[in-house]
Amino acid sequence: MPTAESYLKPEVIQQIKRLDLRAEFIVKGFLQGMHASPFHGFSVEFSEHRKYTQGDDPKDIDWLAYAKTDKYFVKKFEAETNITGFLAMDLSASMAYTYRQELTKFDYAICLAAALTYLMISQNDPVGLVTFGKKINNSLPAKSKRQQVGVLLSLLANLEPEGETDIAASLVQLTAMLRHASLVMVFSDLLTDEEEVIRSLRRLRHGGHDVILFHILDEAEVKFPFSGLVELEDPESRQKLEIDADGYRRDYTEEINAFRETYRRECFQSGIDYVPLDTSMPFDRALTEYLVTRRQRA
Amino acid sequence: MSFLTPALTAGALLIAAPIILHLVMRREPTPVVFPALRFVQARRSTNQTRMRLRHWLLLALRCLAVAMLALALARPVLRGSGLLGADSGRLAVAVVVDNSPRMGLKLGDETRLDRAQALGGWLLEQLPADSQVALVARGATRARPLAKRWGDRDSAAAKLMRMESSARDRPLASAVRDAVDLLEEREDDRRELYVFTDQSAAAWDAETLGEVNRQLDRLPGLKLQVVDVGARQSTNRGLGALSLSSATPVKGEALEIAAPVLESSAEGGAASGSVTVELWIDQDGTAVKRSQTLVNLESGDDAVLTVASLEEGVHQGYVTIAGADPLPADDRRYFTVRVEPPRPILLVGPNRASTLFVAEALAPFDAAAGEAAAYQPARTTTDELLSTRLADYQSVWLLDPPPLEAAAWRRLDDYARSGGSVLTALGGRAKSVAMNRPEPQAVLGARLEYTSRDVSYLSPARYNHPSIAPLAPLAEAIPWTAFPVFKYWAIEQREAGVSLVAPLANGDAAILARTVGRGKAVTLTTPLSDPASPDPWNTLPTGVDPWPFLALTRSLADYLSGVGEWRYNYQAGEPAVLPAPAGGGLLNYVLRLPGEEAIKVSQPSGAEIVVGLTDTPGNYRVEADGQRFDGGFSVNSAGSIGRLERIADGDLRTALGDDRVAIARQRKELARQVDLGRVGRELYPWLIVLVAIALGGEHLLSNRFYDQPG
Repeated sequence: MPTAESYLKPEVIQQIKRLDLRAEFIVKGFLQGMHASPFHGFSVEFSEHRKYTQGDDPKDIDWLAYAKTDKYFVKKFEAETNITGFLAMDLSASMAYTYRQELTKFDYAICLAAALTYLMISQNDPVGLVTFGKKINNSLPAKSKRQQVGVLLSLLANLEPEGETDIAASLVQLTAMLRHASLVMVFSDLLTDEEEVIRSLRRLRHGGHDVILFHILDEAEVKFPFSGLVELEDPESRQKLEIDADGYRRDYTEEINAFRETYRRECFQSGIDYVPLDTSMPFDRALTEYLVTRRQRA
Repeated sequence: MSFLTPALTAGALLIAAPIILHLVMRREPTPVVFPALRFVQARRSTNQTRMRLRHWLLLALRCLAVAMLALALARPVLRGSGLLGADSGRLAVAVVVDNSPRMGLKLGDETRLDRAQALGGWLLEQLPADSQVALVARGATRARPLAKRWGDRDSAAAKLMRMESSARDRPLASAVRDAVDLLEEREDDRRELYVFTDQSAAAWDAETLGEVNRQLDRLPGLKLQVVDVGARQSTNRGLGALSLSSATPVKGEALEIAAPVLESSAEGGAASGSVTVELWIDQDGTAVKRSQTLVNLESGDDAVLTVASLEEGVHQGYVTIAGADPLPADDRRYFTVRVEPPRPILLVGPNRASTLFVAEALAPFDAAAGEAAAYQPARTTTDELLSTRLADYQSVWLLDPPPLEAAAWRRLDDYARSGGSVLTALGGRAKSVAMNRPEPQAVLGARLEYTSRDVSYLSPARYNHPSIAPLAPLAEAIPWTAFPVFKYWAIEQREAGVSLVAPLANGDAAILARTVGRGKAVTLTTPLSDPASPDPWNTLPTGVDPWPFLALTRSLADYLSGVGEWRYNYQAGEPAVLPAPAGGGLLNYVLRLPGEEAIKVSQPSGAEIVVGLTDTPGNYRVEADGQRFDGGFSVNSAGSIGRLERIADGDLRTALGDDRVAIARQRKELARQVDLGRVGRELYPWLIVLVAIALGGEHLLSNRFYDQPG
């Protein structure tokens, strides 16, 4: 029998074609590995009474309370404290990159997004989706209905990463869109000017939103496995560079680590959860991150 | 630098291979899509530069490895560090060996000369069999023609083994000059010069260094290979050259011998402690200790030994320090003295009173008891001159002579010609006409002109004539001006051979000297016996505190009596000259050398006895016809032979030029120098090390360069 961990490996997930099954597979695999139930305290339970005001659903009126007090009270439920999650997907061309020709960064992001959606919906958390390139391209309002999983996954399955990206502008746009405090989960390789991005992330956080930044890089982008003379081409800008890869490895690794470190430091200072990932890493880390945040907010 | 297999240097062309590979065989880059290009770009400029540098470094290392390998296989050899002359010629080696007595210094059982012989023998063995070797001993004379000194290697080695210490004090530079002379002849050969020395500062003094420098200048490119066989740690106590109060003391006169006692160590440092110095004198063939003294070395005083009451005749002996030390050669110093009877002098004056001053000056009447008079003056008058037997006296002094008979002058002339000495102090009684006759002139050799009244004083310009030479040390102190000369005989003309010993201050002659036959004649133009009077000729004997008169009289008497004419103490190597007994026919004598050895010699009588065989320090004795003639002399090595202070390598190099001198002490160092000079240094091992370093560097760099990921 396969162990729980085996469900969480990207190469295993890759074998499953249907996205909803993938999501289920990931989440179940993850939950199987947990000792305590993550749903504890998440049930839809009575929380408190509050006075009825116009516009409240009359079916929520607590008639027992009315009988006792002769006043209209509405039951307030635990469910109301649930967080609204927004998945913000980077849809730039660089997200389609894969060195090993197995799982692109985008695929990895989708798997992760799907699993998170599945998990959130199963907890009655409303989930929405925005995808962005130079600006926000698609958006799906947050809903906690069961069907939302299907809607969201079918949208994700049909997306194709292309073109350049402007994460900062997109996040600013998203900030303007969000009315309530939400949990914004950003999936991006962040291959753009970090200052702008960090500023927009701060802005998002300042808007009262919880932010989890899933920084997804390809395995090759982290480990720089090339050797010999190579001509590197940027898929977004089409820029080319001829280098001797062997001599560059150390410098590149230093540079990418510094880049990740910048984000980690800046995010920590702003209270943003920064989750550095690469396409060879199991999904559990991303999910754990979500759950931890979820628990803190509950 | 040259190559043993020069053709293989062509292999260096193979460095083209890595260059071609580097420039032509460049790989086509593999196209790779890579979104994180911005991180590559961030480091691009520094990385590209470093990359290029590494590439060139790698290329350089590869080229270096190839070139060095080719060079190493060509077997390069470094030459020319000590050799002079054609590469293909024979080897001509001049070996100078210091065999001075200092080389007798023992360290363990080995003297410095033993060590020089051992090292030298080994060195000669290393020479090619057809080498020509010239051995130059420091103590050797240059009697043999230079060309005959060249010999083959084996005979030179045998000669070196037979070499003995020589006390002959010949400068080391002179031996080096001989060696360079020898090498100069061998233009077609490869030339080498070795000097085996104890590197003592005394042997390498400034003069020697200057001369050796000049000699090396003669053969540019010649390197002086100094082989130091000296002891670096040794202390020696010894005696310097003796100084005798007189080599010919008069009977009854005490003999005083001063011997400088020195302590010298190779490391330098002050002397300490004390040493006993003994005086031994031969008596009937046996040495008898006559005196001893304890000398404190710290005080730096000389050992002063005195011996009194020596009988007339030749006495020989030695001064020695008690105890043994590593260098015995300077522990003993020899001396010979000849004790003579008081020397008889005939003073002739117009009356007895006129000879009093000189008689008192030569033999004071009231001399202290025990003070032996060196002279025995006999006083007579001119009237009695003809009837006096002159041969009984060593000199005759005519004090203010009146015109004498021609017969008297002839007698004086004969007396002088047979070895006697005549002093004439002219005064008021002389007449120019009478004195200018041929008979007096045969003795005087100077025609009198008139009595000059030009007041002046004695003013010897130089004290180099033996008759006044003993006054030289006092020259500055003698107050000649306090003793004016009021009158003197002006000299009209001097014969050839008459020399001016001392002039007056006005330039006119005061003292003249000449040789007459085997004898000597001295003429003073002013008297030595002028009594105090209102109109004196001079005040030499009558002035206040007339010590210059005493000194002058004594000095003239010594000269006329032949005191100091013969030397009895020589340095090793100097020919000794002794007076031979007068008489006709052949003189047969026996020369007894220091080591009991005796040589019979025959030579014509009357001539001097010359002994050239004086290389060994010691006492030499000459005996002829039984005991009828008895002579002797002593030979000592130089006073400085006991000085062990060394010249530092750095000083030697500075003085001679760093590139012109190489110093070796051990066989290994010598071997390296010889090897360097002769076949050059093979650079193969060094080049192979360089190749290994280049290849190692290349490997390391390329590994760092192209290390595999993960």
